[in-house]
Amino acid sequence: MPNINTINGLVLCDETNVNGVTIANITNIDGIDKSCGSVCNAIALAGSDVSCGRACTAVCVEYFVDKDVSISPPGVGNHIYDNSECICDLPEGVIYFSSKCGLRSGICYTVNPETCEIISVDDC
Amino acid sequence: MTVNRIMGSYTFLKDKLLDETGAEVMMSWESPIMKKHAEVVTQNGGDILEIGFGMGICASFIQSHNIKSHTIIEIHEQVFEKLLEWAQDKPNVIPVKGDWLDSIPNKQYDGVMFDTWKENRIVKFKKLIPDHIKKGSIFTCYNSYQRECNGYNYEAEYIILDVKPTKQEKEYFNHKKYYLPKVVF
Repeated sequence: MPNINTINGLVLCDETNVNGVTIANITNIDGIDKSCGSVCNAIALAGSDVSCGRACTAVCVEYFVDKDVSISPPGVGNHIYDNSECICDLPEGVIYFSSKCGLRSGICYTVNPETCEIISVDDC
Repeated sequence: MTVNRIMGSYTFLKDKLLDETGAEVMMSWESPIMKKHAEVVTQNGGDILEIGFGMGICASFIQSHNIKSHTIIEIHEQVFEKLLEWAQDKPNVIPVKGDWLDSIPNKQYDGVMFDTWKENRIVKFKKLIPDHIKKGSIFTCYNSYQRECNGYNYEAEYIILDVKPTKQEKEYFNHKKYYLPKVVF
């Protein structure tokens, strides 16, 4: 899994300036987003490349979101990732994610696969 | 902690509990399911933790078993009031108002029943619960999966029940089988 936060042993997120470039001005390298200091929390979700209906009945595994789910669930504008670094690299075609996980209710998130951003929210 | 979960107004009907959107939170057809959950979670006797009171169906069945204490955590104001009313003549019930995430008493339980509404913090639950169980503790939870699996991915034994759900406005369960998970830690 690519990790732009550490390059050649240098923890990028701990630096302010590298080779004359202000780190705060770097948002991504080769299209991979930098995630320094952002929230990246684990959440149980089930993914599907078919439909929300399929995701809502599928078995959940651990994904990650840029949201503190202790307080409220993710919504439109948040992002879903499949790695603890919160780097956008979802499996091809998987755009539906459900939080139902066999519980009484759940939400189905549809994401933009290019950015991992949640673009719509529906009930399961 | 500031929590803005599940704070809408609920409607209490004879045979169901509705949330602010009119969605069924719990219904009386679930009684046979809850009876079995209660039987499973109390198999060790001792101290029982129930997370989510709902209509109190499971709680009432739990009370029919020989247990030492029955801690019930409920976040919703109206439901908690119902819980307090229900618990008045039940001296071993310990009602706790709050979010389970930061409200589980500092204690190890013999059985844990988990059944909440609009939950999305299974990962946090799995990290938290080892502090509140002991070897041999039993865990069970509401489970809508139609096969032998559970949202927590715990290894479990499944008790398959025949069920007859009544009509729902916002369908949450319309199957004829219920896969009740029993996890022994």
